[in-house]
This record gives sequence, C-alpha cells and structure tokens, in this order.
Amino acid sequence: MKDIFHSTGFKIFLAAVFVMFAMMLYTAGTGSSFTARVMGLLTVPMQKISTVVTNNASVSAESTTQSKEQLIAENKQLRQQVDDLNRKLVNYYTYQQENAQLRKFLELKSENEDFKPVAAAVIGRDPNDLFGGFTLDQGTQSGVKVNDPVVTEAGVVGWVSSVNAGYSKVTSVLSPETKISAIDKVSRDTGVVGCDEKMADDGIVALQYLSAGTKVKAGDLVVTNGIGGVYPRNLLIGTVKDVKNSATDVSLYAEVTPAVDVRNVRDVLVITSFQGQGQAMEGLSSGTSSSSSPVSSGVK
Amino acid sequence: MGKYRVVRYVAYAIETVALFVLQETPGLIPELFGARPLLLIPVALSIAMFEEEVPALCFGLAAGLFLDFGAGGTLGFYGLLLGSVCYVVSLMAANLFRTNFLTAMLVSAVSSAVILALRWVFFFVLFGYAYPAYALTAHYLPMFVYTAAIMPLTYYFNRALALQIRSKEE
Repeated sequence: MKDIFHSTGFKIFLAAVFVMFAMMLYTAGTGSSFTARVMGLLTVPMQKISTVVTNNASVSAESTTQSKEQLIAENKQLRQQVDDLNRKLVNYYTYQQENAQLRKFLELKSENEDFKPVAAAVIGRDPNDLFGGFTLDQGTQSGVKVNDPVVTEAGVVGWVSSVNAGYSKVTSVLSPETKISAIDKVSRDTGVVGCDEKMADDGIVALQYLSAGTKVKAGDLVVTNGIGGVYPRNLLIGTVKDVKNSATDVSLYAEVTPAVDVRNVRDVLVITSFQGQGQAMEGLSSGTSSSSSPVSSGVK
Repeated sequence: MGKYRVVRYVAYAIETVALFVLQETPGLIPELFGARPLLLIPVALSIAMFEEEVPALCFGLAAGLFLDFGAGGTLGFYGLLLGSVCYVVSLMAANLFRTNFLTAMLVSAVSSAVILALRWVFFFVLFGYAYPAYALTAHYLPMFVYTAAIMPLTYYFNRALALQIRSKEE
C-alpha cells in the first residue's frame, strides 16, 4: 500500500484530480472551455452523420415493411423493381417533408418580418438530460447566441443555453430552468409557464400564478406575451388541458400540453434576432443590481 | 512503448469515441422506463480492469470528459469521478481480486451506483429541483440498471481485445 502512495502513478492521479477540479471551477464560471471546443470539433461531425443514418434507417425500415406487404399481394416478379422504387420514394418523402418544413418556416418568417431565423437539426440527446434538452448542429458560426429562442412551425421548443462554434445546447420548455412569460389567448390572463420533474415526465407544463377568479379553461391557447425579451410575442406554447389549485398558495395553475413534442423533435428554427430581443436583460444589467441573470425575463 | 500497446490504446480510443456518438444519437438506443444508458461508464471500467493504473486513469478521464461534454455545462464532474474510479479499479484488479465476469459486474454495479448517486446529489438535489426522490426512483435508478447491464458486452469485448493483442505482444 505504501508503494502505491509513493508511485509515479499516484502522483499522476493527484495531478489529474487537481486538473479536473480546476476545470470544473473554470467551466462552471465561464460556461465553456477550450476542451469543450476540441471535443465538439471531434464529435459533432460524427454525431451529424450518425443522426442522419439513424433517421434514414428508421424511415427505410417503415417503408420497406409497407412495400413488402403490397408486393406479396400484387406481383412477386416485380418485387425487386418495387424495392428500387421504394428506395427512391424514401428520398422523395424525406425531401417532401423537408420542403414542407421549410415552407412553414418561410411562412413564419413572412408573418414576422423582424425574425432572423436559422434552421437547425437535432444531432444529440444526452441520457443525463431528464427534461428533453438536446444538441443542435448550428452554433456561433451561424449567428446563434445564448438565450436565443428555439421554435418549430408548431410553437415554442426551448432556448439556447450554451453555444459553441459549430453546435449549441438547447434547454427545453420541460426544464425547470425555463420560465416563459405567457398569456391565455382567449381570456387574456397572464402567468408564467414553468415545469417540474413530474410534469416533464407527463409531457406537460404549467401556466402558473393565475388569480383565483381566472377565466382560463381547457382548450384555450397559451402564447408568449413578449415580456422579458427572450421570446417574441404570440408564439404558441400549447393548449390548456386543465386548471388546478396550487399546492403551495391560493393561486391557480393551468396544465398546458405543449404544441411541440420536444422529446422527439428533429428540426427546429433558432430565432437569432427579433424586435425587442434582450430588452429586459439589458435593463437588468444596466440597473442597480450587479446580477446579470435575467431571472424574471424568461430564463432563469 | 510497444507497437501492440499503441494499437490497443488506439482501439480503446476509437471504441470510446464511437460509443459516445452512439450514446448521443437521438432514437438509436431504445429507452428503458424512460432512461438511456451511459455507455462510457462500463467501457471505461472494463478498460480499467485490463490495463495498468495510469492508462486506466487516462481512459477514465477521457470517457468522463466525453460524458461531461454530452451533458453540457460544467466539464470535469464525470472526468474526476470516472478517472478516480478507473484508477482504483485498475489497482484493485491488479492487487486485490481476479478479473472475471462476476467481479466485472460487481465493479460495474458499485461504480455506476456511486457515480449516478453523486450526479443526482450535485445536479438535481443541489440545483433545487422539485421531487428529488421521484427523480431518483423514476430516472436515476433505471439509468443505473441500464448502465450496469451494458457491462457484459463491454467486458467481453475489451477482454477479447486485450487478450488478442497481448498474445501477439508476448
């Protein structure tokens, strides 16, 4: 035992522990590091390829099964020919889906001319993330910044929580760290959309801090109200499922089913610029408080 | 450093990177009770069982840093834990116990439990999130079981790799 403590290996071990501690302190403070950039350069291209291969394989598997059933019923001699056509069809449907998505993004852009959107694909989902967070294939090189809202044509997905040159990490609406200032489109009641562990498991979020006399009801649409400067106005968050009493105070909260299935979303849009972006955060940072954290502005 | 040793280390490095990519690819590894495994924990442990303490430490650190990178945020948490665990496992495998399937499973279960319990404490409980006990049973426990269950695959793969290359080395 004494030999182990006097060995070169043990000294290397102590040095490694020291370096890891230093790295933890450094990255906890700055949020990024040279090591993360190097690892990103190494792994992001591979993640992109593996994601494309996985997506194509799943689409091909579905298509081949369907074709086989049809072919058995129709004509055995044409099986090979139909398989070839099906392979082409896979590409066709992929392009068709991409085309439809881009058209919807274009519509979103036309409706909101102040938006500067960047289309991005989900290339990574880490098992450590319990709240549906993911990695995107776009980073600072495409103009993506921390706190940029992430949406699809259906509604809000989350926000960019960290960014590097070629990739960025997104925190979803299911995370307890996400707080969105929101409004019920029908009753005009306002609140804050947040989530906790159990709700995230059920795939719902809560419109919190509703007054006792709230007129919010099931079926109402909940949208962002633009306060805070993190999300633009009128982005759909979801549909009210139920209204319940808060367990901790006299207020009510509404369970909201998000418009986007954030755990399975594949293509998103990062809004890198919009009218009013970051206004409240600028206000906070220029105020008397020394904290730069936009606590009440949408992001904890 | 011998030629075959270099070949072995390169093979470990490729294995680590490839499994990291598999781990992170959306929709590739099926979920078990909503959890997915941390493939790099059994990989690093099984490498540590067949290598000396310094290479074990290095591969533990590398695998840990990849896990930290995937998780986002602070780099070094998994690096520190997995590096330390691999160093200890390598020393124990050399001096204390025989390397076989049973000990590999025991090492995997204990190490995964310690690492994931500390992850839960530092990244869930201390973050102040609600329902920590629920998260432990609903997410971290299935993740632990799934991660530990990967050990037979990585153990036999790395055993074959180490023995195959070592036999040529000798």
